[in-house]
Amino acid sequence: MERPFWIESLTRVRGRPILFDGAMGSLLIAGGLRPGAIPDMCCIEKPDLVRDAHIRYVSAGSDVIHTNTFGSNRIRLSQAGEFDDVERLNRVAVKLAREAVDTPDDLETRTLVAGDVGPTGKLLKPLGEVAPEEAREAFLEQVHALSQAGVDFISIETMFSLQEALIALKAAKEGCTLPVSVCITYEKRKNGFFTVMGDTPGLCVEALAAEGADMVGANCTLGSADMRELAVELVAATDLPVLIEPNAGQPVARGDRVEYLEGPSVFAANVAPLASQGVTALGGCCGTTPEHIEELRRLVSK
Amino acid sequence: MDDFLRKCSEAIRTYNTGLAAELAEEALAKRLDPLRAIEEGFASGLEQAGKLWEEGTYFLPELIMASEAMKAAMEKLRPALEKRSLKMKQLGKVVIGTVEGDIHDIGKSLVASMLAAGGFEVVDLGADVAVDNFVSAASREEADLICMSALLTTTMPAQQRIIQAVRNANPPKSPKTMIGGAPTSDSWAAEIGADAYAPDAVNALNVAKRLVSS
Repeated sequence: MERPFWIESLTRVRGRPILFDGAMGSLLIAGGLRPGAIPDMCCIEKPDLVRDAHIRYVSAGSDVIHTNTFGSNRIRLSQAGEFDDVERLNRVAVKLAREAVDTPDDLETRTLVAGDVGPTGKLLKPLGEVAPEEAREAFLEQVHALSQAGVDFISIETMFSLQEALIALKAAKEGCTLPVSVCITYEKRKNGFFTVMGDTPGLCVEALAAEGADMVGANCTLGSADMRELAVELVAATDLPVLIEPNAGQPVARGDRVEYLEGPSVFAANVAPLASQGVTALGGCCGTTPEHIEELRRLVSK
Repeated sequence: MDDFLRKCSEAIRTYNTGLAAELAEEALAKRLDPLRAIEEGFASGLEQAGKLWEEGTYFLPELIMASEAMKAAMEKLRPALEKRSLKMKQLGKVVIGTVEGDIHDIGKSLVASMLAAGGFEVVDLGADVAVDNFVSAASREEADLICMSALLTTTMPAQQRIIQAVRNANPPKSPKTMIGGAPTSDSWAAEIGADAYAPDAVNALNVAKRLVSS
């Protein structure tokens, strides 16, 4: 049975790759996010800023937007010294995303809201101090809050450890009945792509598929050129839909500001061709802006 | 290298914490010069682990476990060093931390471990460290080197603020500055006036050695 409002049905109806959004934190900082605060707190402190950022991505042509909840799990929030009510923070974030999109029961026009789940930021035992069970509980709590608040699916991102990604995925499957997408962060090493923990793309997608992931992919660290190479490997390794969200190249200093090397046209020209190589969904990570997504939308709609 | 020292080295390279501690005790029982056990035995194992990482054979877990094994050996040997008033070749004193607004501490902690294992005295300020805390620690500790980690594009500018604040405060040893973290680079180091950039924990040790000897 085809699930309503999931990537596969959207792809079929829209006849082109599905576009996600781009970076959020940089928009919030440009809009006056308190220095040193984690971007998630913006949902409570400056909700208009978050809603406006979502609206900019929707206007740019994103089919899917991520809630501003990358760090809204108990473990990460307490590291930031900003522990708030996890349930409330996620609920408010979903509400802000929902306010930015139209939600007709119509596959042609609906923009999906993905509940963003990022890593705990800590290493798991025995390497680190967080027990796997503690991580599981933190993810379960967040996923439960996101799904209760009405996201269309769960999007686990920027996982640098397959072990933690699997814990998050299992918690998501346990905590709700929504589809779950999992993006892993890979580095390009001399002998290929690996997570910092040493997991290969092939191993990751196999393990994630076995635990019921509905979409797999990669985000962050790599720029669009390297990500093209990785995307080919991922597509070859799985039958699941693949999501790719590159950075806009590497950051460079421009006075007291940080900019990324790949502007909208370079980024979009590198990323758009992935659609013809079997990638289902495209978006951006660090350094990407609504302009990057707009240019990408223009190219994939041709 | 004799067989025993080779075993010490192997214990670290194969990240066998239990064996590393046992061999350290055996070195003491044998009345082996603890400095020699460290420098020609255990520390060479850590160096080999670093090489395996550079070759792409080892990853973060192996590096962390090797540095843990090194710590275990050092804990056993340290009392003997102190009792005999022996000092490890002290390369210098390092103040290290992740900059304000940034809670990522995995990479920073590994760099701290590698520097400590490599012969630096390391003061780890933790994560989300305010500019002023870097400055006061540099003075208080008479640091030779300040290491700053930033994992976010949005927190990188704090590295520049720290470098400027430290220069303005003019602490006793006018410490060198080293930066790291995923979005940082050589060109960012040049732009903000850092003395060096290190792409990873293994290189960080080499770069740090070069900085304090220059």
